[in-house]
Amino acid sequence: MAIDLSMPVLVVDDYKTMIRIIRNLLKQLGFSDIDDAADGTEALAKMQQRQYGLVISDWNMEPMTGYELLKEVRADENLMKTPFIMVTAESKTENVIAAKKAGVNNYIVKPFNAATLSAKINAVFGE
Amino acid sequence: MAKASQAVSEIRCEDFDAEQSEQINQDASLTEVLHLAQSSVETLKEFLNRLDTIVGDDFHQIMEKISETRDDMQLLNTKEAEVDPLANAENELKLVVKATEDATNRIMESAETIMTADPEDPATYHQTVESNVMEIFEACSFQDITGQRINRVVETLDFVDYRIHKIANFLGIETEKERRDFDETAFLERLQRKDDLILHGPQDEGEGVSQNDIDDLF
Repeated sequence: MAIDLSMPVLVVDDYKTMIRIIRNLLKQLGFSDIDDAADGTEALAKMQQRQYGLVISDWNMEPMTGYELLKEVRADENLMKTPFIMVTAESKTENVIAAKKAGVNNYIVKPFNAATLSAKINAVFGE
Repeated sequence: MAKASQAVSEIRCEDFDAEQSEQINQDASLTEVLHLAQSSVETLKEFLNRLDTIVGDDFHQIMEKISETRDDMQLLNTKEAEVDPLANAENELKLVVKATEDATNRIMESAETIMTADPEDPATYHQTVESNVMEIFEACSFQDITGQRINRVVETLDFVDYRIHKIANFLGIETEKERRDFDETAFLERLQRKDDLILHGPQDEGEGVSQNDIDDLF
């Protein structure tokens, strides 16, 4: 099944530069509907207003981290099936295991490249 | 003579009565003194017992403070600390410099490649520009990592500030300004939050799991 490149993608990061980078990489990959949020709280509010096809989130943010956002999303029956990729500098084993237990679909360690982002999106959508 | 003897005897009897009476008086006074002494000893004993507890508690608190201060000073002493926060901060700053330098070189190399690309072959030119622009985007992600590393250096300075604050507080040399500026509760809450939410920040080279290891988990 081909990935629907028109699906809305939510990028969550407290660094505007990183949002810009991921936005540009996603555009290069063909995605056209890209939204963003500066932390978990803002992302959750946006997700409750609109159904996103994919969430790409950082971990370390204030006041709500990406890890907390992931747990909130998985606990909400309306949002729980939303594909969720963590893109983070947190690369300790305990972080990866905690995210996997919380239901993350894939995990990318920063710094990363376009090829890695593309491969993980494809993996999430079974391509 | 007999009268005289009787008189002497009477006098002696009188003397005896007087001595006996005085002795009785003296015995009464001694009993009272002994009572007073006993009472004083008991009061003193009670006082000393209380004093012993108060002094003991004070000494215990002083010992605890000395122990805490010694621990604080050991943590500031980079040679003795298990985790060396100041050396870590130095390492973080070196990694920031390296990441900035690497990113700058990658960006400049990509820009130079675009500048020297041959526009007469549109397809190749387009591909070269696109791949190098992607390379520039990726290189710009250094700002996120270096930002987190600098935040950790700031946290280390907070940590040192906290320890110095505690020592200064114990030694009684803390100024009003220092007391006002340092929010110990907020500092401890930040540490707790980092523990609760597994916030470690970027790992050094060779530490943490690689993308390949993570891919195996998924």
